[in-house]
Amino acid sequence: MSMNKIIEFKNVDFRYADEESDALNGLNLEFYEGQFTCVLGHNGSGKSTMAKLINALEYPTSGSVITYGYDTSDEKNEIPIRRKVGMVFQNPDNQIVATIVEDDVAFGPENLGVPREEIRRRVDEALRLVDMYDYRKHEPHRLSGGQKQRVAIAGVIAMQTNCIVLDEPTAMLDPKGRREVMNALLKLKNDLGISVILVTHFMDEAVKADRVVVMNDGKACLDGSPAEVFSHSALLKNIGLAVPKPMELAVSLKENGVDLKETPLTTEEFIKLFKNYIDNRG
Amino acid sequence: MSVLSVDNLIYGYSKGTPFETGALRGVSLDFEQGEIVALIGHTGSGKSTLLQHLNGLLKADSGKVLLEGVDIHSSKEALRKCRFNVGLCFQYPEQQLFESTVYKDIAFGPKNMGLSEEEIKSRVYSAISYVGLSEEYLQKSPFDLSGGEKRRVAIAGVIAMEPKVLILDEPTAGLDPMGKNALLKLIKDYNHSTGSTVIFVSHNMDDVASVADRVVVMNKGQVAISGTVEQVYSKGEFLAELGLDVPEITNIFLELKKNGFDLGETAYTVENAKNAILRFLGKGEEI
Repeated sequence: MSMNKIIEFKNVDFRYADEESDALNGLNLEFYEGQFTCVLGHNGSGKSTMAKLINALEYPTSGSVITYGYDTSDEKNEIPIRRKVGMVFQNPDNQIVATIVEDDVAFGPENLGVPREEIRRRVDEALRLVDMYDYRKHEPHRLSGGQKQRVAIAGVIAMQTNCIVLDEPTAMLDPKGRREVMNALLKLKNDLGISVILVTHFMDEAVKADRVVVMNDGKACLDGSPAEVFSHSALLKNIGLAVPKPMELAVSLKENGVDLKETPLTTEEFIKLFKNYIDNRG
Repeated sequence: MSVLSVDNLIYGYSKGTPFETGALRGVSLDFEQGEIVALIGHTGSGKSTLLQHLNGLLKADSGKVLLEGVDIHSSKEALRKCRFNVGLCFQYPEQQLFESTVYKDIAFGPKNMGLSEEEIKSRVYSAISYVGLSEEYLQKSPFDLSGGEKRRVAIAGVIAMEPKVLILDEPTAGLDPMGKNALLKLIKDYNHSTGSTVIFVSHNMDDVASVADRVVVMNKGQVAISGTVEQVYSKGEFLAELGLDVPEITNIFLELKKNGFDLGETAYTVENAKNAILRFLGKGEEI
């Protein structure tokens, strides 16, 4: 299946003012329509910088970033780009602007000049999708972190962007909050066909993606399906990333003569492979 | 005698309103000298509220906090002693750095204790080495450091007070795997070399398994279970009911059991899971 390219980084270097080294260093990377991509990397690998360059929050020092056909370095493209790509950041408390949940979700479309009835419809639909409709009249500051992040996501959906970029949206959440956000994101991709680019530290989130990109030293060093990427366990450990535990266990068993044949990324896969192993060992 | 204990603490926020939340409903716990205790529980279970009682930031509606047997609210002196002996490091402590140099920031606590200049200096130097940063950092501005470095400086500021009990609220939140492992090692090393008690809150069950001697699980303002890592993690189904995750490895063991492979024990690290599986397969002698 050929997929439409929506974002392209071409030989991108980026250096923050008064820094001595490049945050991005000859980055070549493409994102495709309808894909759920997880971007992994340790702190300082350039993954958050990459995210900010997608929707023109920063511009490349050299090279170019083309988002939905618009060159992000050209100032007049800023608004069309922001209508295509929405962003959600790490800290849920920094991105809520209104005092009532539904007003917060309406903030984006209001600024786009969307008619009133249409806003109402979009806000309700967005809140239902992230499972926050029952909280539409609540005050955001009384919500849990996971609920606040889902409101922020609803705010992006209500603008009808085609792509959503999230920079470690679950880093400050508890396990329940993390699951809620991840479920909402999978629904965006599956139900609305929205392209999702998720920057994260969590391997259990990455195994659910269509594609995983690993960044190191401002470049993409691994790129492929979760199974392909996590098969490079030595390289991942080397650059300070963990591999999923079921896989680590399978590798450790193999070293001791118990070969499960394939590499499990999840608990379910591990159980299946272990059963096969027992059945065939006869 | 326990170094720190709480006896039947009861506390409520927004009492009498529909927003009453995060309350403590009769919490009793003892913390022993030199142990590392992990406090877990989902958001709103009362963990942070409990921590704030341990050094007297909050005062319970009823019940007592005893530091070496003395009620911390029994006198001004007792409360002052508690503030210096129970060092509390909040979540995202890097947001609380404020001095112009790392040295001054770490020295702030010891200074307030009224220590001599030489004593303050020696404490700052030993604190910065505990958190694994070189002395060159002392003259830097804390605002020029990376997030992980800032967090270490903030923790050094608490360690410099040489508290008998060090309390950390989600010390690894938001760190990448490398930063997380470094911080967990720091907690363990500090505990080993000083013999201080460490109490930390975490949502990450793998982190807990790797450093804690004892785990206390909070639920709805009460202690739901308390015990060694093995004792608590073996109750996987119960933890799941409380909305907590068990470590992924423990989950694999629970699932194996459901599928008819009873390995007879629970595991929470790759190492002990591997050994248990090899034993189950009759390959135990080889290890």
